[in-house]
Amino acid sequence: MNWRYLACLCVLFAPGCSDDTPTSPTETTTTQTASSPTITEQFDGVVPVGGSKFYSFTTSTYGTINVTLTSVGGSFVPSTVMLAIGLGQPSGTDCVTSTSVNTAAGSTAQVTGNFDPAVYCAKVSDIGNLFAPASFSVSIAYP
Amino acid sequence: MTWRYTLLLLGALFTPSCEDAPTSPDETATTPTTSNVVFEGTLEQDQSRFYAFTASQAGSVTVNLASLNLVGHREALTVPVRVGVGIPKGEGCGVTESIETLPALVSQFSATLESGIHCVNIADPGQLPGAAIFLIRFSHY
Repeated sequence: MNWRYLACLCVLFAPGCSDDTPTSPTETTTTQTASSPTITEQFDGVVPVGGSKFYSFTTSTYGTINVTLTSVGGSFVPSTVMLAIGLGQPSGTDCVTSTSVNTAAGSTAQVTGNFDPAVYCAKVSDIGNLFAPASFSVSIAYP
Repeated sequence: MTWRYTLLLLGALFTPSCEDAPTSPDETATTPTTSNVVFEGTLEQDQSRFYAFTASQAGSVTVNLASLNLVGHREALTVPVRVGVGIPKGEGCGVTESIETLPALVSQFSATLESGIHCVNIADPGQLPGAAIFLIRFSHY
């Protein structure tokens, strides 16, 4: 009879698996606050017929970049002509844009967005409207 | 007596055991990959050209000006040009390190870069007799 009790005790005190219940992942969502532009650069140039020009700059913190085509001019170039203005990153001998709009010159930023600190470029391109090289001014504001 | 041993043996056999034996950590260390780039074009007198690239991690960039000859000529030029690296800035490359060099079969220049966007630049320091065709090979991480 004692042996039976002993057998029961063996089963009762046999080591079991530690449970290690999975815990829920900790939700540590952080919201980045976009810094406002603190630096403004003026990019003036001449875009050839069917061509483009770009300008590189480096942002130091996550924040807002505003690109504004402020004026377009030149012989045989109406000031209302639409050009493509874009924002991207330099690659090879070009600026590869991730955002681009076709727009006439204005005073409000045509391209804007929040971006991580990195090297970026603003690009002005003829979209087929030019019959002569166009002088332009672009304002680039970034943190 | 036999049934007692049998009972004990069965008790031990059916006692739950732990699973999930520890496994060896996966070896996922990646070997840095080197990218090789050929940058060729025409360099005008007193002008510069640049090529932007993204270094995926910190490491060295090695630059070789492999050829330089006047447009329409096959013989190598014997005047130096300035080759360097930097970060794209404005309408050019904001050069941080550079040398004046002639074309050669081996790399003339190397520099250590952080990860991110950089540029290789070639510029005429003022000795080119005319527009020249150049070819630069460079490698980076």
